[in-house]
Amino acid sequence: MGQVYNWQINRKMEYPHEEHHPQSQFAFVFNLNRCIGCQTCTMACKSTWTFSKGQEYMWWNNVETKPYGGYPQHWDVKLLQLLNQVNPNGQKWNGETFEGMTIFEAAKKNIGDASQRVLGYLPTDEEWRAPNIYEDSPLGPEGVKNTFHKTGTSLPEHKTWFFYLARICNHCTYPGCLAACPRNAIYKRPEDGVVLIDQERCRGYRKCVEACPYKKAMYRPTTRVSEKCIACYPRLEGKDPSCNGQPMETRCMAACIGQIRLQGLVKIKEDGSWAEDRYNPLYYLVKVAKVALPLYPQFGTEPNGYYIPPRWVPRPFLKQMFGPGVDQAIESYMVPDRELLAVLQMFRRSNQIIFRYEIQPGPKVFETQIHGKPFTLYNDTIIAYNKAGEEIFRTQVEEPFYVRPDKHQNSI
Amino acid sequence: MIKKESEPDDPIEMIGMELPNQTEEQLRDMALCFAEEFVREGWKEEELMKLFKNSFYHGPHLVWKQKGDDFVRSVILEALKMWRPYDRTKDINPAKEELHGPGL
Repeated sequence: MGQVYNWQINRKMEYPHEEHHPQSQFAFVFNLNRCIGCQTCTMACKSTWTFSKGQEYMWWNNVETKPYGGYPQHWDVKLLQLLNQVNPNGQKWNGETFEGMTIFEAAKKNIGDASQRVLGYLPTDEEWRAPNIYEDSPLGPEGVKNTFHKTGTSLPEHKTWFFYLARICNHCTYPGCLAACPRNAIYKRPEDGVVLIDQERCRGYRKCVEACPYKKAMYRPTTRVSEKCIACYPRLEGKDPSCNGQPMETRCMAACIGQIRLQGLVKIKEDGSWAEDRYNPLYYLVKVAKVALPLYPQFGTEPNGYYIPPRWVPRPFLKQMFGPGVDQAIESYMVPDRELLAVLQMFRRSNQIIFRYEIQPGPKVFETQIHGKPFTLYNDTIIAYNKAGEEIFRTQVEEPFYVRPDKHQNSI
Repeated sequence: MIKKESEPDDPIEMIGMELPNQTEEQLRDMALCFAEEFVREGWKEEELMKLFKNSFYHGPHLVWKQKGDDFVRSVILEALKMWRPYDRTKDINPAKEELHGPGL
């Protein structure tokens, strides 16, 4: 066991390998206030990478309805429960420091049937098979146990505060899958931090499936090895024919019609912290504005997917899911400052990865009060640049609104 | 069907029932969030009303089904008041073509 520093839980923690870090890290921000659960991302991934025999139940990208659903079913509830069994009532934050046990620390204390390097469980086949079942409609009425509605055509509906949680592999800084693999078949690429399974070396022990807290490593019975999201690495490398050699965002990001997704590469220092890169949109959203938060940071893998939390959801639920930064993130998002409003405009304006942005001040449009706080809207112009420093696009805070006329509905 | 007593700590129980303690305030928060997001994109009052009435937009639609036109319109007007405090009959960036599409 080595000691590594995990900035998301603000302390050192135990990890089965010594600390090593890539030069840059694949990372993304999803704005959950905007996700409409259309599953376009899910199908973009499925039709690109997992359409073959043996991959039928394999969804590297999925969108699940919280708090009712999950893929595989109950993945987060089950792990939270396991952690609580190992460390009863001890999974608590003290300010920004997590004082409970990560999945690596809990594994040492947990004496189960078989030894584990990482606390986890293997989902059943049934839990993988129906990704969205019962998520929008409960089977029975409120307060009545064990009763199905008589008419399946008029099921009741959940009334409020569900939200859609879009998920892919988080390409964690300290991956649970990598830590658990007895063959050292899983590795993190030094150039971009993408976590990959070596298909030659893997022997299908499924330790990664058991250990990944987000359940994003999946077993393929036809090849008898495990597979996972590869972050569309040919696109990251600029090998897609449409991008002139420049790094491109993944398929799931590019397909997002709700415009909730922004993906990029952040610079990493030797000690694993994010190098200051003030005008990289991801650095700004995560480190400066602090509106985007990691998913279940208390698991301890330092995931590189960040979420702008949905503002209408009860705070205790959000704090369990996204950690102690929730209040500040929602406050900043609800009344965005001038720079944040401009940066939010960059979501899905291009499929090329944005490495730097620039804001040109525009005229004042109006003054008002937003949620009781004074607010001034400026029609600033945002300019995005790619890795080569070339301008990708420029857009404005007040954008023209166009809808494609009916006659073009079937145009591609 | 086999009858078994409900066990509150069984995670599978969560999918079988509606959650308790869902308040009108939470419903309004959710509706207001949807309205604000779309107003910021330039949608107008009547377009937003049609969005809430359209069953393909499940989240907004369940608000409209439970609370009706007046409630939804008041939420939209609150969002417009915040994000379009000027004369709302005039769009700041008029589209070149008339707005029409599926559900609009």
